[in-house]
Order: sequence, then structure tokens, then C-alpha cells
Amino acid sequence: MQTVFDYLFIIALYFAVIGLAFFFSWGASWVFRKLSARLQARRGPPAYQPIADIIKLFGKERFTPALSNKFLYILSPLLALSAILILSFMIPPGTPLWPGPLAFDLIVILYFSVMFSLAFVIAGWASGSTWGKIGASREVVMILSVELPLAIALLIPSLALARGGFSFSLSITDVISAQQGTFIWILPNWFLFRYPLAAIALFLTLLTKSWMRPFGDIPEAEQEIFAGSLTEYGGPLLGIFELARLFRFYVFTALFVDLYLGGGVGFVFPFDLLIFLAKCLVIVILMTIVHVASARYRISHVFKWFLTVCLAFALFSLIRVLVGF
Amino acid sequence: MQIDKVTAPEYVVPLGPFHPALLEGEYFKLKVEGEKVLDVDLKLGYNYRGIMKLAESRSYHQNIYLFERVCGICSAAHTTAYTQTAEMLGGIELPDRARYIRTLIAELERIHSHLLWAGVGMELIGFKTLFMLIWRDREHVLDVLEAISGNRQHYAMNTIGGVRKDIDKDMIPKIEEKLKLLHKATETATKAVLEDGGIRARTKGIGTLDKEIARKICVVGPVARATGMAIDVRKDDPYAAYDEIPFDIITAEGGDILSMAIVRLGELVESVKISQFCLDKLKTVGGPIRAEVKEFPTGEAVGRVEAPRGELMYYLVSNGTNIPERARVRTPSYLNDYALLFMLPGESLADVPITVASVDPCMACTDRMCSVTDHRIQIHKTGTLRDLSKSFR
Amino acid sequence: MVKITAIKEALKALFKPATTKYPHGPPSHVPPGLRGLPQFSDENCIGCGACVVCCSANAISMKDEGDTRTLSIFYPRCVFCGRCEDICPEDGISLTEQFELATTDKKNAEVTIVFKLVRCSQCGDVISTRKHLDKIKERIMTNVDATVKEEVVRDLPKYETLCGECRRKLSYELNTHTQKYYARRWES
Repeated sequence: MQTVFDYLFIIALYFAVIGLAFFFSWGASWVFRKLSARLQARRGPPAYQPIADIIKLFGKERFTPALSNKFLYILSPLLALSAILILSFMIPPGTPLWPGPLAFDLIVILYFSVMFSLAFVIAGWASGSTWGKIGASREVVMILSVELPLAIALLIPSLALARGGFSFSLSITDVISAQQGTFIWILPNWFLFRYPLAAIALFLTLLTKSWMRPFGDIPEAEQEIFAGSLTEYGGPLLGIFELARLFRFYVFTALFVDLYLGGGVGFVFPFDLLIFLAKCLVIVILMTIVHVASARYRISHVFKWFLTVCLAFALFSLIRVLVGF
Repeated sequence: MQIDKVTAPEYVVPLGPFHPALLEGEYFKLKVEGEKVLDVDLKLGYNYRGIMKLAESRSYHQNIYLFERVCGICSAAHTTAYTQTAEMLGGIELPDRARYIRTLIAELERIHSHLLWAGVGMELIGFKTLFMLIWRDREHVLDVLEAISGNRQHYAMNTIGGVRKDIDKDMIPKIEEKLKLLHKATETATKAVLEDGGIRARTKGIGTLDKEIARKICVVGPVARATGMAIDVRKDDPYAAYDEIPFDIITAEGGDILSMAIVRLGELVESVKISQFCLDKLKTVGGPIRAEVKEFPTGEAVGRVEAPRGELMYYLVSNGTNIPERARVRTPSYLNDYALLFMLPGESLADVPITVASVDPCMACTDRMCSVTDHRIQIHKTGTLRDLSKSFR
Repeated sequence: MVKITAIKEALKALFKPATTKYPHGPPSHVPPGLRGLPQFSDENCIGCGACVVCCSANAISMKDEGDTRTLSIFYPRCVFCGRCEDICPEDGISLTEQFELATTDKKNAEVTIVFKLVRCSQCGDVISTRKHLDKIKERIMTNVDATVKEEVVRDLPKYETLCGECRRKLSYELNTHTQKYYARRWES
């Protein structure tokens, strides 16, 4: 029999996770900016810079362009923020103890991650600018090419649960707890080592979804199309978008760490959280290095890469899971 | 039942006058189907400053510093061309030392301009790291120029009949040290640009300029050399000290962006060599750095130099006074910009910025006359800037 | 997708940033001989106005008011070419290494020097600055031919107080026409 207090406790827990996501994203965003600056022989911003940028935007004038669809123009940043907030508490912070909001997390996560991208398509289309429309069309191509490998790579650990002697489950919590123990020799029993190609596919798709080069920043390539979808945005609405984009540092890295790097499994409560965050930070640093060391491809390259190489990796792993070798 | 071919709607994308990819004001009217560019129209004239008119009211010596400001990047090329033309008018012979110093400055400037181009090109295809690193290495050559002349960009070194500042004996080893660093940096940059798959994917076969078209529209400089034409004013019509300096003309086949990059990166190495040659000569050759200027008798003269962007031509008419009757500047970008109309159609919208940058356009150089069309009555009129500003108020 | 060189270069740059915190800290380096703000020398400048004529950007202006002459460099116009320094006969103007010249008030963006002016005793026209005339006098006294020195010393006060036009008009009246020197030289 659950009381009101139990529900309140769970809600408080969700807010705690959102707070954790926010502060981690802030720190990771700073690490990203500082590290990429240092790799480019610059000095980089101080630690408050990521959040100062957003606060500055909230202090500015709000406006809607004359040619825009006013309703969608205002709706899309809110859509993006709500999607990413839902994502950020759907993904457990590394510990198997996390109750998990639903028993079928992964499907919902997939759904909201598409919704997050779609918010940018809507934003670009609603703003009524040529550049916004080009950005939106590029974003659509990105969704079409990225989501299929992403979906397969997300579901592989959950399908593999049945192979490992667990019952099939779509909950990330179960996936985390299934990665306990060692695989071979001293390698931990992470899905990274069991399905490396799928892990690469997921890493590439998540890299792309978090606006990192070589593919990620094509829809907002500033030298080509200003800011793509967000060209006409400014002030608080852009601030909401930027806030939503800040959370990508938590959401997409946490997803990878939970599914393929075993979250914080094998440690007791406060330590598993720290281990989890450390792993997330490692992924952020890895993403930064890839981002810094690559040129931006064309949008046609994205289609080619993700629907051949990336999809092939994911499908090969899927066949391995289903056939079992 | 016949199904019509589904095509994306055609629409016009205005690239410019102000756009993050364009460093200066210029306007490309792109007719686009989806991401594919169908047709291009180019409009220039956003940077008109009336320099040639202004030159007709200033003395020859004052004009040096005026023409230095035609272009911020190839400022030494402009003054070299101008002083050379004025020297032809006055029949002045350059002293030996001045010739080497002039060549040294011109080549250091070419290094700085090509490194700048490489950095901008990297930035336009989204490779911010190489952009930053190449520009960091470009600081070496700017330091050298600053130490020699006292300014990073506008060197004010050339004057009619010679150069204004001598290079000290004890400064030469320092410059040589920096040249070694530059040589290393250029090699690293060349290696990094040519080995990267991402850069290759973005530049190979993109923005191809056909050799026949290139010949027909008279492109100059690295753009012409990238299509396989071995033209270079430094070899064809040697000025300053180029007639005694051994160097190669770098050419490449293909005419795409990658070959333009190869030509420019190859020229960097050559420029370092030429600079080293000049420094070696400066150690031994002494003498004055400035010849005496007497007067500019009535007449006209044409001078040309190889600016980093191609052939730069100056035309001067003297009426015997200390103020030129007419000064005409023909910049390389004036010819190279036109090539864009043949390079852009058929490319993807994403490749437009790098294609535009590949000819290294310098709009401030190019804009020479302001022509305003009244679209209602279809009359071209030209006038002073003051009148124009009044009529558009 | 080989990009070893780029990654290697990037990692090399990790701990040695090339940029400095310039507006908040000192500039990385100021090379000797930097062409910065032109300054008049209080000692050497004689206020002849040669720099005004030769300035390639018309940044230097000269203003004669009452019995003072003001030379001023409006440095937002200045292009730091250093031609004034080249042309100056007395080392009276030189480029300093000062380059942080931004100011919020246009009136502050000027370097000025004030001289005492000498006017013509007859018509009131400007002759030149006191310092300029003194310099001329000094030069004449050092370079003058010994044979005419006496006469020159006698005539100089007359020259000093007359502008060129009045000197021409009154040359016979005051016996200051130059021909007499030439005549004397031919004789000797």
C-alpha cells in the first residue's frame, strides 16, 4: 500500500536526478569548452561561462519574427526542454537501486530522443526563415539516418539480457545490474566488450545527437547556414533551447554509460554514483577529442555513413544477439 | 499511369551581403533546389571607398600609404606595385639592398596570406582546431614582420626609390630562427590537411574550374596554377630581386579546391626558401636602401607584381606635378571572383562557403566604382558617395 | 580517416595556450620599434608645420589663433605610417610604442603642442613661431659668411618682425633686399 509520501518521495527523487543532470551538464559543458579550447591552443572560458550565457539570454527582449508561425515558434523550445527533462530522469544515474519510472524505459527514451530532435525541426520550420528551413531539412535527414542505428544499438543490451541468463527486460536498471561480474580475464562484464561494434555505432549516433563533429553540427553549421533552425531565435526562447541543449551532456553520455559501460555497478550507494559520473566525464572527454579532431562533413555524407557503416555495425551485433555467437 | 518526377521546390538563397562565411560584404544570389545550387548571381560593390579618386588629390608619397590600405592582407604587394610603377615614371633605379628587402617583405607577406587562407578554409569546412593551430603558427611570420617594420599588417616599408627601414645585422639570425619554425609549421599543416579524410571528402572534386574556362576568363595566381597553367609574374616579368632567385612555380591539375590548397601550401614552402635566400644576400650586400627621387615627368607607366592572390596591376599617369593625374588599380580578385560563377553551380549549398573562399576573394580590393541602378527606370548612374547618401536618405 | 597529425598537434597545444588574457593582463610582447602614437617633442619641435603638409592621412592639423600656434594630431585618423617622423627636420615628432589608444571621448583623442606665434609688425600676418625663427637665426649665425656677418646681424631684427610679403614690399626702404649680398660676393 503506497501512501502519498511515497509518491512525494519519488517525485523528490526525480527532481534530485534532474538537479544532478543539470549540475553535471554544467560541469561537463565547461570541461568540453575548456578542453576543446586548450586543444586549439586557446585559454577557454571560466567555469561559470556555460550558465552565464544562458542567464544572459533570459535577460534579453522576447520577440517573434513577422513571418513565423507564432504558436509553433513558442511551442518548440518548450517541447525540446520538456523532452530532454523527461529523458534526464528516465535515465538512471548508474545505480541499479534506482526504481525506474517505467518498466519499458528504452522505448520511451527512444521516443523522447526523437521528439527532442523534432523540436528543432519544428523550430526551424516555424521561424519562417530560409536558413531555418534549410536547417530543419538537414535535421530531418539527420533524424532519418541516425535514429535507425540508434534504435538497434539501444535495444541490443536489452535483447542480450535473455542470452545472459536474465529475463528479457526493456528497463535500463535491469541492463545495468546484468553487467555485474567479469567477462573474460579481468575485463568487466560490460556490453562494450561483449558487443563492441554496437557500442561504436551507439557512440557515433550519440556523438551526432549531441551536436559534435564530424556529423553533429551539420544542421547548425554556422559558416554555411548561420545557426540553422535557431537562426531566428533570440532572447528567452533561445535561452530555453540552450538550456535544453545543455542537458545533452548528461543525457547522451549517461545513456551510453548505463547501457554499455555498466553504470556504477559493483559499488555501494555513494560510490556507484561517483563512478558513474566519472565514466560519463570520460565519455565527454572522448567526445570532445573526436569533435576537436575532425572537419564537418556534408549532409549527404551523414546519410551514407549512418545507413551503411553504422547500420552495418548495429545489424551485425543484432544478428549476433539473435543467433547467439 | 505516369508519375511526375518529384522535385524539390526551387528557391533563392541570399548568401550575403553579411554572412558568417564571407569576411567582407558581397552578395551571392543562389538559386537552389533542395541543397543543390542551380544558378549563381554575384553582386559586388559593398566596399567601395573611392581610393582611386582620392589618389588623384594626393602627392605620390602620400599615395603609398593610401594604396597600402587597398587591401589589409596584401598591403606590401600593393605598395610594391605602386612604387614600382612610380619608379618607372621617374626612371629610378633601385639599390640592391632595397631590392632584397622588398622581396623579403613580399614573400613573408605571401606566407602570412596563404596561412591565413588555409586557416579560413579549415574554418569554413568546420575544422576549427586546424584553423586555430594554423593561425597560431601564422603569428611567427607576423612577429617577424612586426620586428622588421613595426606593424603587423601595414608594413609601410616600401617607398618610391627603395625601402624605408633597414634590417639590422643582429636581427637576421632571429628571423632565420622564426623561418625554421615556419618551415616546420607549414610542413605540419600540409601533412594535416592532406592526410585528413574529412578534409579530402569536403574538397576533392568540389568547385571544379575547367582549364578551358579558366583560360577564357583569365583567372590569375594560385587559381590559375591550380588548373595547370604555369603563370606567375615573378617568373614571367621579374621585378625586385626575383630574376636572380631560384624557385619553382607550383602547379596542380584538376582545378578543384584540393588542388588550390595544394598549390598554396606548396607555395608556402617556396616562399620560405626565397625568404632564406634574401636573408643570405642581405648578410653580404651592403649599400644604400633608398635612391634619390627627383621628379615624375609627364608620361604613363604600368607595373605588375604577383600578389598572394595573383597578378596585381597598377597604372599611373603623370602630368609633371607631384600629384598623379590618374591611378588605376586592377586587383587579382577582380578576375578570380568571376570564376565563382562557373565553380558554384552544381555544388551543394554546404560547399558554397569553401568554394567562395577557395579563390581567396578580397572584396575590399576589388570594389572600384559604385554603380547604382534605379530599378524602376533602369538607369545606371554614378556619383559621389555624399550624393548617394543623400538620395537614399 | 587518418588524422594523426591534427590530434598530435592538438595534444601538443594542450598545456601551452597561444593566447593571453590580454585586456585583463599585459600584452604578450611589444616589439622595439613598434609604430604607435606619434608624439611631439617639447624640446625639439619648432612648430614649422612640415608634418602637416606631408601627413598622408591628414591627421595633423595646424591652427593659428591670437599669438599662439597649436599643432595637433587627431590620432583616430592617424595611420601610423611614420612619414612625419621621416620628414621632420628637427626630430620634433616621433612615433612612440604606445598603442592602447581607445577613448570614450573624441576630444581626448588628440595630441597637441602649443607655440608662441610671431606676427608681422606691418600687416599682422603670421610669420612663424618664435622657436622656428630662433632656430633659423641660430642656423644663419652658424652658417653665415664672415664677410657679411656684420650686416646680417644688423638686418636680422628687421627680418624677424616682417612677413614675406611685407619684406618684399619694404625691401628697398629698409635696405634688406637680398641682392646686396650677391653684389658684394661678386665683387670679392
